[in-house]
Amino acid sequence: MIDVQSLWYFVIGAAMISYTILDGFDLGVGALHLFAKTDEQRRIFLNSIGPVWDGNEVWIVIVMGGVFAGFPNAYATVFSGFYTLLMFLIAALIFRAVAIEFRSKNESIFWRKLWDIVFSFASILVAFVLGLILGNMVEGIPLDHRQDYIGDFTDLLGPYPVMIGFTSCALFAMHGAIYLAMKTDGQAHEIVRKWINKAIGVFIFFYFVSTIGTLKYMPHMVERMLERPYLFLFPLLALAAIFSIVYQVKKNNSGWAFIFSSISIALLVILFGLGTYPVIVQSTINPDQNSLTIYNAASSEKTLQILLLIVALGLPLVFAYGAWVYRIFRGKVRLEKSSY
Amino acid sequence: MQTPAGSHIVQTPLGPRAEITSFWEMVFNPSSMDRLCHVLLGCWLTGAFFVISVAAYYLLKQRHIQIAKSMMTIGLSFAMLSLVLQLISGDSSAKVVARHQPAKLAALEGVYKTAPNTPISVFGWVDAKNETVHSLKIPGALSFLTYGNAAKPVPGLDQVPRDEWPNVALTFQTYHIMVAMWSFMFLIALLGIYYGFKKTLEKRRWLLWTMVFSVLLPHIAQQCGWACAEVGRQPWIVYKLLRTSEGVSTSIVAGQVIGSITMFVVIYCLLFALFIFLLDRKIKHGPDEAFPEYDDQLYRDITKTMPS
Repeated sequence: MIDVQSLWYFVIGAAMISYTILDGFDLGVGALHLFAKTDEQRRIFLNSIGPVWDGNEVWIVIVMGGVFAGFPNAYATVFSGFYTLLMFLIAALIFRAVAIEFRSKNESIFWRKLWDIVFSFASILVAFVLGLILGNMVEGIPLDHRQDYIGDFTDLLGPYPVMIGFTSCALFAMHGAIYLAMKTDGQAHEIVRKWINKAIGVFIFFYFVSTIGTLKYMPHMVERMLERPYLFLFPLLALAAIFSIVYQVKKNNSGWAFIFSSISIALLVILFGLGTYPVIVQSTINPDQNSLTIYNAASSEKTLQILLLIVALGLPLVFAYGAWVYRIFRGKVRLEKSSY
Repeated sequence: MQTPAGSHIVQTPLGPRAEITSFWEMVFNPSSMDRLCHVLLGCWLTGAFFVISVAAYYLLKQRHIQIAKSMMTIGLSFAMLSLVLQLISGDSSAKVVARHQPAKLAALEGVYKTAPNTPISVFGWVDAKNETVHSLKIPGALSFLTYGNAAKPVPGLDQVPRDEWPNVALTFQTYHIMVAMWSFMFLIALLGIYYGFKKTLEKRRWLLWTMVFSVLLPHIAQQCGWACAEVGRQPWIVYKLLRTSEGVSTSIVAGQVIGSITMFVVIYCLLFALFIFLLDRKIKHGPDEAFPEYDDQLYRDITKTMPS
């Protein structure tokens, strides 16, 4: 019988997958924004994510809220330990949101260029910081016997986390480019097609570098797979999904390419979970005692049961309105008077 | 945090922690519903006075007259309704404070010494050094509003240990500013409705100009109300359970907190300026003329030819 702590871990994992797939593409569109040269193209790309980006961001609120409610000790350690980093993340999220909303509200060229730059750099910063945080959670951070963070800001900028940060930027850029190909036609579509191949190339490069880095320097990430070799199915599936993206792009099936790109992202998050479960935050000091796991960081079982009930009632609603919004705004983007 | 309920304290290897005992007791803790209503009514007021402000501006500038008149009617009636409900909600909230957070109530009205016929101050200032309040007082009003009995004394700060006092001057002033904002809003809504019925509102330019700037009043009330609720519950972060000083994270330093507060202040000042700039443009642009019968030029021409 599976315990409530693990169940809640899977719920957060599922929300994490939804977040990386959904906000992943709109962050990627942001990262590519400045490569579009004309105002019309930029508006088309902006409007492809316009109706959905804020709904996508709800998922990270669910992830963070889920950790806060279910694993408060991990929340306390991570959010205090990553304080400065998270302030950068918040600033980037605020400016990104404002840039999307404000950009097209004024005709001035200076105004629009300024917000274009803000939008693009904020999107890249969000993707990078998310990767940085994930990388630090894989590598581990110094925690004392009370499981409090005892490093400083620069300790979070190690080579492995920075590599994961770059990888997540490349992953989202590729995912965003494929999304744009799906949502555009005509001239804009032709431009995006040129980006996709480059984006895939960059992503595959970073993917291999970070895979080699993980295998060589983070042996704890593959321990579980070595114990149960059938789990090697997951990295193989991830590899297959990534090569399916290349194949579908070549055949100009952007819909299928997007599905495989989403599957790759989901599998990468699952690989992270397979490597770290049941640890949430690895400690570099005395890992067996000081690490935060889903057991020593959890709320009481009663709280977790209530949370599971709330999720069982609430999540179908979130899925339903999400699906509805995507249905309303399906098809290729058309610019109108009320567009972004 | 203000009136904790539905939980108990459990000892763990890392120290005591609060664990849930009843979900519904926690959600419907003694102050949650009063707070929710109070805040929602505050939002209604913000919306209503925003509409009133824009409508008054259009009436002053003789633009979009028809739409502005409907906006004014809707805005004023909604404002009056919200103001009356807010009075009831405020009374109810204050009674919850009296029951669960007596030190906060004492600070809200600057009651240092427990005495019968406890008064309410209309306005004034707190002399924290000599522990007195210089103000225009209504004797017995606080006793009456709290207990329905003008003679019964309301417990003062002298019944609270000195190290559990909030900052009295700040709590007192923010609370009184909030109440004063309510009074101004009520006065404006009342005058607006009165002249509206007499059909002379458009001629009272001083009132219309007041209305244009009245959009600030609910905002000031909300910020001050929030401040007095949070300053007034100090030194507790979880009332009577955890002191704010004990709730601070050990892995961050003061510099990080100052840095982040500075960042938020800068970002929000910037965004506020941009917001005002864009909103001002939008208001000046006005609604798209969807209905030809609302042609303003035509309306102005007609009104000019009419004997005034």
